[in-house]
Amino acid sequence: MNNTNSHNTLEPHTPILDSLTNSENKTPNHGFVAPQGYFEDLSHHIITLATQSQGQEPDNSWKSAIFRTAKLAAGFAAMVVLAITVVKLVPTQNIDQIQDNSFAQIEELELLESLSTDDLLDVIWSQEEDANQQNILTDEIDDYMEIMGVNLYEDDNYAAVIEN
Amino acid sequence: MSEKTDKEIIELFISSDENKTLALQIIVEKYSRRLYFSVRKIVTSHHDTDDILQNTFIKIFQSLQSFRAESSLYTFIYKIAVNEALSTLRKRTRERTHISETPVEEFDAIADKEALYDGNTLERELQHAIATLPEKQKLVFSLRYYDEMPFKDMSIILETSESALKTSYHIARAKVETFLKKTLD
Repeated sequence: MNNTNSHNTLEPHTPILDSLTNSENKTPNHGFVAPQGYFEDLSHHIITLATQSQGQEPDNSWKSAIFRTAKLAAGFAAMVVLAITVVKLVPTQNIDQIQDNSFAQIEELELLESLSTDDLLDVIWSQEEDANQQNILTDEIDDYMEIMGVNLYEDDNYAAVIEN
Repeated sequence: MSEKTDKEIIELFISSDENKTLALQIIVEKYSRRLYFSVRKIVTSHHDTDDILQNTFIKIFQSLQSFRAESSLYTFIYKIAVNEALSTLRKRTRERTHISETPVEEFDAIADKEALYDGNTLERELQHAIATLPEKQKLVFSLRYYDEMPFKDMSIILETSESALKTSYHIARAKVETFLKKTLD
């Protein structure tokens, strides 16, 4: 359990969280407190907002329609550029790392061919969400596992951590 | 008066324009407390949680007409709230890089400033550990650990496969354990 290498994040769990979960000293709502009278105020406030929004007509002007279309087109173009960048960068930077870790025998070509739009978006999401290299690696492993249908849990090292 | 079922609430909502706000009020009263604490555990700040709840309930008001009951009403509400929470987390991550504040420092700053956090030492360390997780893992961990949400429901809410969610949860949990071991030893 004292392993401190990069596989440390994939160790079977220890009892600290379980003891915290079962602690008799656990605070209600895990310590989070709402201000006095908040929920009553929230209800009134939302009904007021909803009533106001009910009186508003939907904006169907042709200018708005053009603006919405332009925004969609710009968003799509940005997504395509990002996806191409990821296809170019991700395999070359990380396939070696994955192979080094013996997680799976992934051929670069296979990976490229298997990437669907959803997979690409998932990789992009992972890329965006963490600047920490270790986290990027583990997130990408998640994605590659899903893409390649590989299950790390079947590996003896991780067999103890299968979730129901 | 007994609490209305989701089906009764939706029927009330679509029955007439006058009943729409009444149905919304029932939804807010039925679900706001549960939703509040679920979202608070993800974004920490009461102020952000309040914004997320307001946006969520207004979006529900605007879209409930098209609700198809393929999932439960709470799952529908939760999905909107989680997406709002994710946007908030991403915005905060972008802002954090400008002010060089670590996630742990950020949690303490928010909790102490608002004075709406009363967790014990261990719970605060758990929050510190969760704060260090990437957004997706933070979401998955919170939904599973705190709300005990089945991976099947989480899969609908986050639009991710169950196997990827199980992996994310496992990795998040291992990171939290490692953080706690280091901090508490």
